[in-house]
Amino acid sequence: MIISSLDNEPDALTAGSELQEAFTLDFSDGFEDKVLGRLNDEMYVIKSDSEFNRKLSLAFYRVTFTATAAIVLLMLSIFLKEGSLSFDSLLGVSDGYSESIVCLLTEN
Amino acid sequence: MVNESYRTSGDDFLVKAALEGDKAAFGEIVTRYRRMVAHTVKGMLGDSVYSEDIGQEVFIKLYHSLSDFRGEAKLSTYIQKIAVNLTLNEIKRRKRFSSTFLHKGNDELYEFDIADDNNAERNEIKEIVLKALMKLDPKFRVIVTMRMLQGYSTKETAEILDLPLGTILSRLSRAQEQLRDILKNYK
Repeated sequence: MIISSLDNEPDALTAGSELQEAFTLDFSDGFEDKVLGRLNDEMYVIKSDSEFNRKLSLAFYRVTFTATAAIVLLMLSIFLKEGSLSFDSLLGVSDGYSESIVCLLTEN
Repeated sequence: MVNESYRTSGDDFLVKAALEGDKAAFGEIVTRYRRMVAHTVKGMLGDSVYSEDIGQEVFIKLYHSLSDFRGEAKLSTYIQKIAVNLTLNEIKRRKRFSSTFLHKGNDELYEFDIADDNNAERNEIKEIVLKALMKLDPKFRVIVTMRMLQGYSTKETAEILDLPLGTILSRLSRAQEQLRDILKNYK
């Protein structure tokens, strides 16, 4: 039967040949459930990932807001204390003379 | 998990329902085309548990690419393309792995675990055919599987494999010659 199916001309092979009828292949029982199970697992992983990303971005926004508020308060307090927001005021060296700063840095 | 009411539904309806998240509709697609995929995958990789994994991969890939399916071709053609591509990739992967680590011959790359369907003659035919197929080059094997075991027309085979009709015919002719040579002992 196998050999006789090979004797046909390449373009004259028909769909209902004897070989096709004898040659049946299939996957094991419960194949559909396995496929759907794997899809559900994938969806669970994707869902968990998106939940993690959501929480992470929420935490990022909270930290950013707190840090921005702290910076604003700090600048405000510097402005109230020093009367300006110059570079020296921000560094906290607006009261010192340049010589004393050099002495402080060189420890002489 | 498969909804009985979907048994008579058309492919387009099932695809639409699956895209809306209806798992039962997708389950019906799997039920409808599992044998077609089994013929492609097992016909090219042999009848083993590894072929089951590739079969599952085919449907998982289908699920993720359903939104790309525009309905211009038949759903069966679309699934068959995925099955052929994944199976050819698996053959390449096995060859690469084998040539690097195992140094096995081409026909030793495939395993056989012929399912017992309580028909000894049928099982014997399956085993003979599969073992003979595994001796063919994958580019011939895929055409024999589709044309001779699944009954696709030359035109459909050419469409699925994106090859010209002439190439399909010449490869099939050469594959038949090789198979005749391999199977002459079984006459």
